[in-house]
Amino acid sequence: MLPADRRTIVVCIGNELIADDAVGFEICQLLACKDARVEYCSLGGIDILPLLQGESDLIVVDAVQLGAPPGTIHVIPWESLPATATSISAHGLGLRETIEIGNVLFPGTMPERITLVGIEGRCFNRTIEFMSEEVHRAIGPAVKTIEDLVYGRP
Amino acid sequence: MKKSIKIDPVTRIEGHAKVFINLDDDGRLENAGLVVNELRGFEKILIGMEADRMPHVTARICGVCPTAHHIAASNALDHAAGVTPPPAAMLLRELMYMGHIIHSHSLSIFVLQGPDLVLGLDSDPAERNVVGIVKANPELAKIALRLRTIGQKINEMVGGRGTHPVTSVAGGITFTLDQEKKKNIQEWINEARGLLPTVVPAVKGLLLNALDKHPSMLTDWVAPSWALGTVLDDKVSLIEGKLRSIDETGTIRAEFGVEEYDRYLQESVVEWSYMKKVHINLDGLHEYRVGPMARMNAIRRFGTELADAEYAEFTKLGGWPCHLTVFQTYARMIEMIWAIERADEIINNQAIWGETRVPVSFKGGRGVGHVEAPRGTLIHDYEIDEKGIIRAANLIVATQQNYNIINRSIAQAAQSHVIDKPDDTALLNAVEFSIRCYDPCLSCATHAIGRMPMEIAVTRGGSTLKTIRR
Repeated sequence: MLPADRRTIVVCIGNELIADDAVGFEICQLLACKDARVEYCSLGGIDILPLLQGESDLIVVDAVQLGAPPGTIHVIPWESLPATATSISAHGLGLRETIEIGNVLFPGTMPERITLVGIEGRCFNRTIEFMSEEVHRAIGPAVKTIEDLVYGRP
Repeated sequence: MKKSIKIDPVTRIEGHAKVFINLDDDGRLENAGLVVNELRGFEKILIGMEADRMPHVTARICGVCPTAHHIAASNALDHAAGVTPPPAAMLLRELMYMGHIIHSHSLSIFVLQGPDLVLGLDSDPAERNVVGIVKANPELAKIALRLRTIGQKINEMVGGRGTHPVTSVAGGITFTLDQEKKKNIQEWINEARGLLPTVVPAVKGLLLNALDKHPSMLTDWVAPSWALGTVLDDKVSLIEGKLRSIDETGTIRAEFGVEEYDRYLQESVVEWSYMKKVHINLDGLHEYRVGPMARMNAIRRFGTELADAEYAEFTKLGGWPCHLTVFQTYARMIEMIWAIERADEIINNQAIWGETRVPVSFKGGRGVGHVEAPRGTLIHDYEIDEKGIIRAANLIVATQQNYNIINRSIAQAAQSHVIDKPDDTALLNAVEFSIRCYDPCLSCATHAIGRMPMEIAVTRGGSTLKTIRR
């Protein structure tokens, strides 16, 4: 059951043509979660802000490089997000800056809870057919992780 | 004296600026420049692909100006196939493009250059970033982000996708307008128009304030050069028209169709950078500028009320032709005003409801097309065989053409901030700011997160004096 006080938006980020970076897009295709609004946002960053409509929970799904083995699924609450670890560097504004800006400009639509579901990637310089095996295997479990978050399951 | 300049492959990261400043034995500036290690491998990647795919594939070259590549490629294919798209198709391509210009310029003015203007060159780099600008001026930031969103919505509706549009094709466009879409676009345009009376004086005030604080920008940061822009019916035009070149005094020196670009523009390789320099080749080689200020200098007229009125203000403050490096921000804002007015004209032009495609086949040969990208003239040149396969490709991008002038501006910043001045922070700030006035593509990926990763190597008499990194 969906907790009564929750409305969740899931924003999936990444270039759908690039190996492990495409993991956010692939997850977006599989998320059939009726109780959350799912959006794909290829670049992330500041473009996330117009998508927010006052949901209580924001889940950001993206490939990350935090130094863990490929395919590792990180579930990181906003408070614990490392200052320098903001998904892929070339996406411009990181999640942390984006949320900081949102809190200043649009306090009314900012979520109460923000969680990054980051899938550790390794290959970011080849095309989609070179997605790492470990990352590919992590897609299913990541979808389940996200659904658990939406339904507030431990 | 022998100089050796080392290009360290470790710094081959998109957005990593590497700058060199060489002094002679007496400590006088010998030369300075920007080393660009981005590899434009696309010219090789495209070979062997079907020509029809060029508008989709080349849009992927850049996440910041994809629509520029998308339309330049379409124009080049029209030329190769010997077709003229119907008037409605050109209007719709232009409408998509106006959305792109609004989006790109608002990002450039507010997110990339805004921190320098709002917070000042001397402010702490840790604060001088987009989060800082938002905190310092939240109302302006909100408007800037809204303009950016509006631009992107127009681009997305007509282009089929926001970041990498897909609807423009050889011979026309696959988008068709209906009353519902027209209504949406008109509402966005009206909203953008409504924001202008607030945003224009605010940005101008910030710029003038920055000049008050740094008067040397008006005297030392002047880079007289030739300029190149596109003209149609004696007005600034971005997706069709002739290329016009003026010299540093404003005299028109050439006007030519883009298919003749290789007669007038000469590319050359430098040993210390992957980026090829380009000169105008007309009675000798001339350095030139492209982009909003170059277009204004060369064409001088937009043909819309607000933009022309603001341009009159611009010339009062900056003269004509204007060579003030920092005025490029002002020029960008005027072009954004025009893009909003022009989008309004297009959506209300009855011709937009006509046929949008003509049949296309490639019989073999060359296709050259261009647009004025947000940062300046962008040319696509393809050799296509009789089966419709790309056999050769040449792309000339804006930043390449501004390269000579960017390097000159770095030298000026070095002259006013490094010679006999020991302050590394001031040097980094001045060099960074002078580069950003041209809004080269490498700045977009990096500055927004707070500061441009930068390495400045200062040599004296051929040996390294110091290397400043951050």
